[in-house]
Amino acid sequence: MTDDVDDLLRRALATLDDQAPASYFETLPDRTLARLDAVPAVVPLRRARRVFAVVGLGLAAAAGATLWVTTRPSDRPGSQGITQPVTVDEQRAAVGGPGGDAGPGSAAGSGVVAPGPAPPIEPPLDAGEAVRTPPERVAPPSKPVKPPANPVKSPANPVKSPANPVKPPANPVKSPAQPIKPPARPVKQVKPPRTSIDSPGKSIEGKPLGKPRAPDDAAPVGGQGQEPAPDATDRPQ
Amino acid sequence: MADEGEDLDRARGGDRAAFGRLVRLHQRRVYAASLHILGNHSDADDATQEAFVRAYRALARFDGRADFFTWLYRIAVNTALNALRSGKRGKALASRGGDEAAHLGGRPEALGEDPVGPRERVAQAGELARVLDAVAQLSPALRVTIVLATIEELPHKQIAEILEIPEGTVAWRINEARRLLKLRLGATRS
Repeated sequence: MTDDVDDLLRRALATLDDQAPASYFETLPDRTLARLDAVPAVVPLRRARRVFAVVGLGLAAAAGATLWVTTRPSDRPGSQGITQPVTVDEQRAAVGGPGGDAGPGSAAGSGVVAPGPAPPIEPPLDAGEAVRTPPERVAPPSKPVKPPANPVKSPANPVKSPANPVKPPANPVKSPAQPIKPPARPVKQVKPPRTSIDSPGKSIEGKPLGKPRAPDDAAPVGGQGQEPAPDATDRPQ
Repeated sequence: MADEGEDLDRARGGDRAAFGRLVRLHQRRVYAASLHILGNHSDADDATQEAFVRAYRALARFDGRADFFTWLYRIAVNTALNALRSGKRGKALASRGGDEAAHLGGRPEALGEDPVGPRERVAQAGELARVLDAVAQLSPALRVTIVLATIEELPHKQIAEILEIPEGTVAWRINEARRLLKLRLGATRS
């Protein structure tokens, strides 16, 4: 019976053998070689992940720069950059000195320093939120910034003076080695927090606003203070 | 003319002409295995080319400890098996079996030499169609194993190497495939 089954199987499958066209085996080698060029080699998943991780690190570095800009003021207790003049040493230590939290993509150690004695300005709101600088202000100014003509003088009622914001002071000391640096932040940060970027979800009076507007050049990944690194599980060990 | 070993060395170095000679040398058996597993020319052609492409890209990993044909055959069988398991192929064996079996050998010109009459021919065609249908109902693992053993007539040891399973498993699969075929053919006959 086994032989019967085997014989039937051979005969049945033999019916398939002549399906190939007459010249099939003449052309098969050439078609196979052509397929070598036509079909791209599959990138192993692990290698693809590695490439993604490298790209992700680049994003993380870019986001680090933004992170530095947006969170730096909040790291200063009491917002000293606003309320107190910042010395050269302080500023350098803050942005690039040992122990600084400048991100890998930030311009740590730049020669940008605070201007001379800045007028003392009281933070109109919670300093940690109010002094956040919108990312669009990070771009280096093409022209020198004028010194503040009118120091903010109504700390008790900053809402009533939005038409007369504190202008950024001149930034006379620039590092020739790293000219692309944001201007002194303390002066910029005293702008009234009118947008949701400055005070997300709140008006100056603290009243809730609509949905916060995303900054135009906000970091593509991650949020404030978040590391936008790719999925850690995808990283090669 | 270069021998297989020499062509292998050249193909490893990127010599496509040498690899083309290897394809020409083994294409019939690779195609036959793919055809018997998948059941139709179109899928077998695709699987055959795919197997050679995979072999070419894996040549650097061929260490020469095993016979080249066994290594190549393993790639071909696994390629066909994957296609079969994907569910997109292999069904053709059952659906086309009747048509193909009607030729009783596949070559219409051979029909004229067949001494059997039309009635017997129809009966045989029906019988072979039922066999193909029964084979198509086997699981991919059983189908591949019985094809390698019965059609390709490979020894159990070589089948075990190709499928990377123990010889005992090969024997069990063959017996199981035969049992199921008998069962189904017997049920069809009755």
